[in-house]
Amino acid sequence: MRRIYDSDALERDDDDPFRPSGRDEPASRSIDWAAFSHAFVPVGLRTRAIDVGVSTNRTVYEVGQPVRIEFEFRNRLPFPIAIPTDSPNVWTWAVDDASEADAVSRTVPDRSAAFSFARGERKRFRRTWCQRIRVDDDEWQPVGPGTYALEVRISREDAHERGLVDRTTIEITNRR
Amino acid sequence: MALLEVENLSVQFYTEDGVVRAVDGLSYEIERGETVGVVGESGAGKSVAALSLLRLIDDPGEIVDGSIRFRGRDVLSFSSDELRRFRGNDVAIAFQDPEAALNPVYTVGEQVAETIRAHGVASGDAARERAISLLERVGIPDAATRYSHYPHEFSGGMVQRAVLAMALSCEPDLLVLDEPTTGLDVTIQAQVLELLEELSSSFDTAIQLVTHDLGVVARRCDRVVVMYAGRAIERATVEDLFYDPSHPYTAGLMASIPRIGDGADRLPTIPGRMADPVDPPTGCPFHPRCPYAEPVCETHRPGLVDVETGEPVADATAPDHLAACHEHTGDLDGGLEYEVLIDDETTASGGGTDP
Repeated sequence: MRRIYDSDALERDDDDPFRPSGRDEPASRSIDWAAFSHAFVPVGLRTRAIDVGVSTNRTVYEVGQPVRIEFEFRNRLPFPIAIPTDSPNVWTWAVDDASEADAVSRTVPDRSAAFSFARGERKRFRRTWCQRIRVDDDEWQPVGPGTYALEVRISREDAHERGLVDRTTIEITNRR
Repeated sequence: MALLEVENLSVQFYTEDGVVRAVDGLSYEIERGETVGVVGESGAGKSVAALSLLRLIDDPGEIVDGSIRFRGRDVLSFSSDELRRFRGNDVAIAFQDPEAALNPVYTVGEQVAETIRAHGVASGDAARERAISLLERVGIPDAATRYSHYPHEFSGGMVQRAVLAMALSCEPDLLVLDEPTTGLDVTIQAQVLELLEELSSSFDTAIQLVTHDLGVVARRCDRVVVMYAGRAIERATVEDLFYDPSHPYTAGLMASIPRIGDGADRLPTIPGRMADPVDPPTGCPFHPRCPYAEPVCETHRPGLVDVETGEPVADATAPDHLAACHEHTGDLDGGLEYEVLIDDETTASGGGTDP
């Protein structure tokens, strides 16, 4: 599309400082640190830079009580970091082995993406698990009393080896 | 074969917070000359469904499942050239917020004429003449002068009309209107609706009307799809929907329409808020807000069934009255305890719902 300064709509006059300069040039040169970091920081350092955590509001729940889960990802470094991921769903969580409390496979394309952080950035996401596991397209089953592991990981095949995983356990007990 | 057949359409967006399934297994069809309303609260997936028809979903979203057939042709397999011919010529869209849809540094008339030229309908002065006649057709006074005006010189209703003129410029068979009356005052709304009625009868254009205004639906639509959390939860003719709402969400939407002279201190509302798209509830997506929810609603998600027989409908585009509620499959013990009171039997929109 033609810009306004490409048209003849505005009269140019170098003596008049209030006329448009003619080009969208930035006032000063700056470095795109995110692109710089993505190009030059080795993947090993990037993965070590990110701290992954999962926590719950309690450790013991009664049957049927919603479990409030908080996931936290933090860039420890003072410059931007982007971690390449194997999926556009850049992180996932799981109850025992059920990804996102869902035993039914989801349609998420198998293509790479990136999980990006600004310098020192902390990202927090929350979920509420209602103590049910999806067992079919339209059916969920409540879980019984017991100990359950909640895991969060960045979507990379080598997430475990590179420490991009965290786990916590909760206990579900019968109502007193 | 219907003009448009949408079957099991699913659209996802990938955000850092998680996967948003904005449209989940949506099926409906539109016949030639028919007006179908798509209603629901903000965030129900109405606009995403509308954009999907023209494959206008952009990164980070994508259509992950389903099919869209227009006159039997698979829209999802179109090449970019086919898609360019399809957009505008076969299906046109008037976007939500028309003032943002127009380019502020070009005249309105030029933008309408550009559409005509781009689609090869006319060129040069013929495109200009055609644009002026379209602006006249949609009720813009002194269209020849207005052709040279910029969008900021138009009122809200005139901008809406100009966007409609642009959408109609290639005489499409299907017009998708995304909230065409939102932000307009009631008199202008009425004018725009009358215009749509006139246009659909004179051009035999089918219309998909995306709105959250049930009054607009009552007045303009032949059939309605009610959406909630990306899914169709009720599908019916406009009469069936207003006289016999069969999903508690539809009943709640109707109960929250303000009525003059009903003497209520407060407007009834649907408690709670739309399901979190990245963390939707298990079972029926409406159950956390539903006053009639029972334990089965938490663990089983109901599909669309015929409200008379309770049978799932194999043909996803069947024209019956369908609703996705356990009430209709006999799984709800307490039933739906609302009744529909008809205040004025001469108008379909005169019904009141008491949940």
